[in-house]
Amino acid sequence: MKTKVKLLVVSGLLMLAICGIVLQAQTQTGNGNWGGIMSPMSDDIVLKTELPEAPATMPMYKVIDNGTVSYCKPNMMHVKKNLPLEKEATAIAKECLEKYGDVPKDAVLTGVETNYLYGMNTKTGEIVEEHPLSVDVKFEREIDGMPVVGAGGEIDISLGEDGELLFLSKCWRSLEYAGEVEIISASEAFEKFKKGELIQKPMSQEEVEVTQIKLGYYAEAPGEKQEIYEPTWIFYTKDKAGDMMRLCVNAVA
Amino acid sequence: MKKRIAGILAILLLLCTVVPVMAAEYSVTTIEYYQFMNDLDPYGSQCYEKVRYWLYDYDGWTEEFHETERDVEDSDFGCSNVGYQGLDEADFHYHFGHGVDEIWSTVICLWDYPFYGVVTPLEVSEKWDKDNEWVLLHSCKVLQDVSYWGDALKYSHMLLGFKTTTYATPALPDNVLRRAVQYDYTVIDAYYYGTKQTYDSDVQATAIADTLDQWYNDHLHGHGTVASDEYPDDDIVYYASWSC
Repeated sequence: MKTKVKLLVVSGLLMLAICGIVLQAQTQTGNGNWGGIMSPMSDDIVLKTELPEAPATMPMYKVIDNGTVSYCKPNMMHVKKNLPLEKEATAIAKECLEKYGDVPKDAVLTGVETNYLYGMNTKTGEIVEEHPLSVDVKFEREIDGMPVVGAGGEIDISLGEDGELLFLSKCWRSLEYAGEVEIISASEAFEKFKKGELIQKPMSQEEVEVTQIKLGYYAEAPGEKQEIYEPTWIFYTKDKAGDMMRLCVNAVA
Repeated sequence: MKKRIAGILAILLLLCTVVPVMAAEYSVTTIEYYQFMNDLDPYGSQCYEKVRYWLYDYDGWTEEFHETERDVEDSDFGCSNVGYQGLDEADFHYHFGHGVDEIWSTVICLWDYPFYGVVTPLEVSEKWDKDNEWVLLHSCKVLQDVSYWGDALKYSHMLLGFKTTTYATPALPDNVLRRAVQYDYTVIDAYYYGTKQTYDSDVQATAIADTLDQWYNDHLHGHGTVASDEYPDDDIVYYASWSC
């Protein structure tokens, strides 16, 4: 009998505690928010690719020259009347680059994109105006055929009226072979990835799919000091909005 | 004649004493430590130091407030039109912390997200109508929803942020504010330049302005023209997104 009473009391207390937690959560979400934001913890990582084999060692490189140039035309974000076509833009960008050390041999064209300024009605979400702003051309670096991720491994060019150069950022550090370094396996890197041990810290935490894993290098942004290029595991991820992000884990053992 | 000169001198003296008092103001909110999400330390503090350096040390602005961690609340984002109005009490606001894409809208995460702490666009809709001109949200994804967040710009001028995931780095406020303060770039040019110098092409930045005049002409105070507030407020905003 006593055991039954004890069980009843314990069950009752448990019920009260659960009700209390639920009520508290409901009260708190009612402070003008759109209530009930109780999504599950969003650190789910879904592996949608094989973990690749990796060599035992990879080269690392010492930075011997910062190799950074930039140019910016005032009022570059004004609306334009006559932008070059995307198919013409790459050739124009290469011409512009002649003054800035040309296109390096290890550069790969990765994108040509037109940017627009939109007028939007915030009540209806309708786009009511659309004006061209610029055509962007991007090149990224490869080292020994492997990708370099980060703002310091890019040439970024924005073209305006009749192909005029609006913006240029080129960070192409001169590198010197600095020996071989042992690297961790893809599965070890994936464990680090799951723990959030990334070179860059993302300011979000949502479910992502890993669609590809590659070895490469990470280049710090222009203006940031970097003395050495070390091997990096690059995780190509896709979030629920379909946006692709490359997240890097240091590959040095 | 002497009286007129004395009058002019008195006005000039008054201006000399009043203008420094009327220095532009900035406010900052930074969250590095989250109860249920990845921590972002030490970048929030580093970003704050950059904002403080460029606006307070270099340019003589006044710091209206700097709230951190658990002290950052919805009210700091200007959710109210009476009493304390948070970011709407300063000309420029910088926020550092997580942002996520929820089912109904993108949101700013406070320290205890996902349980209680969240700032939604509905809370700030048509609320920024006091002193604020520019807001920089250094958070992922928040400006994916342009129509929701753009609605906050009643008399405020511009909202700067990101459409996709972004990364924690003090290089962002450093690059943007350096261009706006040291090189007198327009706010939009400084943001375009700063984002492109800081991030690679995976990151997409977004800027929203209340009017085309503000998009073209706004400079930080003391560095060129500042377009007038939109009055009366209409429901149209201007925005662009670009790969960094």
